[in-house]
Amino acid sequence: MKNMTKEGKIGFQEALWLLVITTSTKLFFSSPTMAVKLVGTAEWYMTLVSAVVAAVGFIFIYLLLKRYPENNIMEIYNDVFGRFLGFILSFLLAAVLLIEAAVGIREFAEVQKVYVFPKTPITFIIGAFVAVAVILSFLGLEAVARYTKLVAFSLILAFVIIIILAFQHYQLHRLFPIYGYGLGKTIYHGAMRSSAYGEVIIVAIIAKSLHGAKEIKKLGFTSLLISEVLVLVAYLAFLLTFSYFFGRELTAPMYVMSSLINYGVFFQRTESIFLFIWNLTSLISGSVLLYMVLIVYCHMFRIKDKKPLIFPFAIILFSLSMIPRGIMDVISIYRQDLMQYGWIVFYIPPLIALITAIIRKKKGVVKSV
Amino acid sequence: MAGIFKTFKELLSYKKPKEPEGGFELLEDENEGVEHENNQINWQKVEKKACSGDKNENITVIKPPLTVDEWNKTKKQESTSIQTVKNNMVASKLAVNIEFIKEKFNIPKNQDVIVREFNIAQKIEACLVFVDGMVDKTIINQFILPQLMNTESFKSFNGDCPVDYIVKNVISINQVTKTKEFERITTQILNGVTALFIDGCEECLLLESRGFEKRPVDKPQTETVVKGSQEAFNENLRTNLTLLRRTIKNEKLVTEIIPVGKMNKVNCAVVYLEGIANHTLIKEVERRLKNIDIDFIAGDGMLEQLIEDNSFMLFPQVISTERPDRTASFIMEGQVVIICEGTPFALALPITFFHLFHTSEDSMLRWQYGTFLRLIRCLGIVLAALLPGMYIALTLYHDEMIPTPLLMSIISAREDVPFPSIIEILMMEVAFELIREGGIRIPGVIGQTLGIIGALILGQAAVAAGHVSPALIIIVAVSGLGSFCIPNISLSLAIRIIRFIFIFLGASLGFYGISIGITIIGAIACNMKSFGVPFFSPVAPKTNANPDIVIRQPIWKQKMRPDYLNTPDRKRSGDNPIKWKNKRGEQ
Repeated sequence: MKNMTKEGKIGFQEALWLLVITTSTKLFFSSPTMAVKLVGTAEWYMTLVSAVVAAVGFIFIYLLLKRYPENNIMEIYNDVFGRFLGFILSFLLAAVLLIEAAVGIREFAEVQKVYVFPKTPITFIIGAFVAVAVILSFLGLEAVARYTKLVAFSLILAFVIIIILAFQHYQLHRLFPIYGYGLGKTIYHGAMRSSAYGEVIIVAIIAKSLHGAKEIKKLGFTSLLISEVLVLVAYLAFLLTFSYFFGRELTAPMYVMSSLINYGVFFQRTESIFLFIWNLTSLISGSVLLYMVLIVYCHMFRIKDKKPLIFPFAIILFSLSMIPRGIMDVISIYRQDLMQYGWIVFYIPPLIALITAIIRKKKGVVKSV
Repeated sequence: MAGIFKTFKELLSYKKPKEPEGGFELLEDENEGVEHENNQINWQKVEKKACSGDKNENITVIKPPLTVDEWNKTKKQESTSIQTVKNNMVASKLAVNIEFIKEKFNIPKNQDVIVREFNIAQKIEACLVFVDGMVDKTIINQFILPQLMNTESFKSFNGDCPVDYIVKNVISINQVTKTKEFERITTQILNGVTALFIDGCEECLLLESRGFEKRPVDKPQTETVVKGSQEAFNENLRTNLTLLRRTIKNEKLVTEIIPVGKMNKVNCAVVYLEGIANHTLIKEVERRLKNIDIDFIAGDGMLEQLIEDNSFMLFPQVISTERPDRTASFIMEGQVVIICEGTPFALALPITFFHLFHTSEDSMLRWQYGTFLRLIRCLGIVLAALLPGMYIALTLYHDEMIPTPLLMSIISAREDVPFPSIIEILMMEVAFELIREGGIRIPGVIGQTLGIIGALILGQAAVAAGHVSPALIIIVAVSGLGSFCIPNISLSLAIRIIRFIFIFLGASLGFYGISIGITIIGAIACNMKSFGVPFFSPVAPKTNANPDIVIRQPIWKQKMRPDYLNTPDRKRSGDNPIKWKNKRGEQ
């Protein structure tokens, strides 16, 4: 069909930066604040625990995809669990991704409203965001992945510049007590918050657009590693800049951190650079999540063309993002719950599917040579 | 006195108007909306004229009576000839061919096409057909007619059809071709070739006699360089191809001529290097050119719009250059070049974004200088597209991000300005665009003067009147300078349009709006393809390419042809392009 949105094949680098940006966007919002509330000064290495757990979760996904080299996760669920259960699991995945996109958009809009547009109606900010997600969904995965790759280096460079410039405020003593609220608590929360890296499931959704199991393995682990390094560096910079009890009060600590930069009369307040990283990564992340929802949904109902579904899903996304009553709801309920329980949908069904496939000796059929 | 009286009388008395009311008016009639077949021939007229055989109606020729057999034979020959011509092939009977040509070229109404009838060696009837002005008269007068009319040249000829004999023994023209197809003959005549029809021969000779006026090879007008060749293409296709052949002295350089345009049949040369350019790409270019169904093509600009992948994209998908050296480098990379007759430009395809901001000088300069110039151009593109939008966003939404001294200076400068920032910047941008367009349309020195004086006076006066703040003049001027840095006119125009989009987005949603603009325009551009090649290759998607994208490394490091062109021969150079370094003292 000529007018269908293009999934096509995407290269390793494009897929890698797509995953890294979608995963690590959260750190620009309330994520560091919430983490510091849970584990105190141990926040920076708590994320290491999360990443390790996410890597273990990804191993299950990878092994499953290796067993089914020419299928995506939705097809695998259907094959392993049957059409009905597979449908439900795919639906759960789509729902969680949609909620994550909606929460991300609302969080972005709320933080924008707090720091940049106090008088602008939130519907306008969210509406503009959803409009971008719609346009990007019409363009397709290939275009979005390429665009992500194109801007990724500039974004990473800008991020590194801000981290380096904020050096003037770093105080090593703020990292202490090094164990935070206790090692046990850190490991527990770290493991529970492994959903912070749950976007790695995207690899399984777009598996057919990638180049085989070997690339999937490399892609998953590399994306987890890069995201982990970015989050760790950001958390470390945040902890070094703000004492943990002060950090708990900030809505968007990274933004505040960049606004504190001051190198003389002229070179100060670099949040303008930060704003661009923030905006661009959020726009990419929201659009990618919406597109992933579309892919999963279309597979569920065997719909070939995604285009007619883009607008309805955009409306659903807009409506969902308007549900939270305010910024506190978004941060303390929705985002928190997604972080705490997201892993149940991201890592557990692939694990069960893998075990079932091994027990029932099910394997994917390799059609192409 | 009488004259005054007459005028006075005419003023008072009624006089019937000489012309109908309103004068001439182009009104619709029964012919309007009726599509006429191109080259519609009145066959009855051709038949009648060819059969009558009366070449000169004023002279009565007394013919000897024919026997029934002879009469039948003549009639049969005539009807066969008419049938042959109807099939668009040359007939053996000259009169039929002449009448067909006359009908086809609208002779005698059309006075450009000359049909010169004569006898070869005082025996065989023949005629030359050519377009006056398109041919070199010396060739016809000195190398065709005298030799054909000379009986001495035909002493050893004793056959029916002298076509081969003429080619081998009589005419001293470098290029002579035989053809039977009228379609080809017509096209060639229109291209300045002389056609020779001979009675009793079913073939026509096409004699190379092109000799129309043309401009000499001049300096480039739009792609001037300090270092490098100072030659540019001109309007003559042959000259342009020669300029290319002179640069690429390779037997594999192929030139295919494809006429485009139903009515004006412009010759388009598809040039590529066999074994370097991808075959699928060549076929695709030919397919697109051959499937253009339009009556008139004025040049490469129109052709570009007809063969590009997506007409609704802001960015160009084909690159146009007037420099033979740059065109040659495109061909050597594996791209296909189209040179259109009548315009001093060559089109190269497929292209990527990075082709549009490279210049031929980049390779001529040492790599450090080339890289520096490219970085400056990159900065120019960013400033041209984003600076006014960013200024608006900063002043309207993010004033807390401006360092305090700068903010104070901007505020004090804007104190007396009665307009909002968006109106202020739009006024200046529109004025700048007007000056630019005016400067181009007004000829020569006046245009340049208008540009400088206009900008100076307008800026000065606007600031003095307090309508515009001086900071804004700087913003508009810097973004204007940025757009001048862009070497490709199409990209420059695209960036100028994008600038306005960013101004509106910056005014409506600050940096968030600009980010939205960057995302949408970026994603659309990433989705764009030029002849199957993604626009941001080799960066997005990442493919193998020489270190010559933004930062240019030394020439000897550029060993491969770009991956995205899928050229059969990937290597541009050996593993060690500067062997002399390892072979000191050797020859």
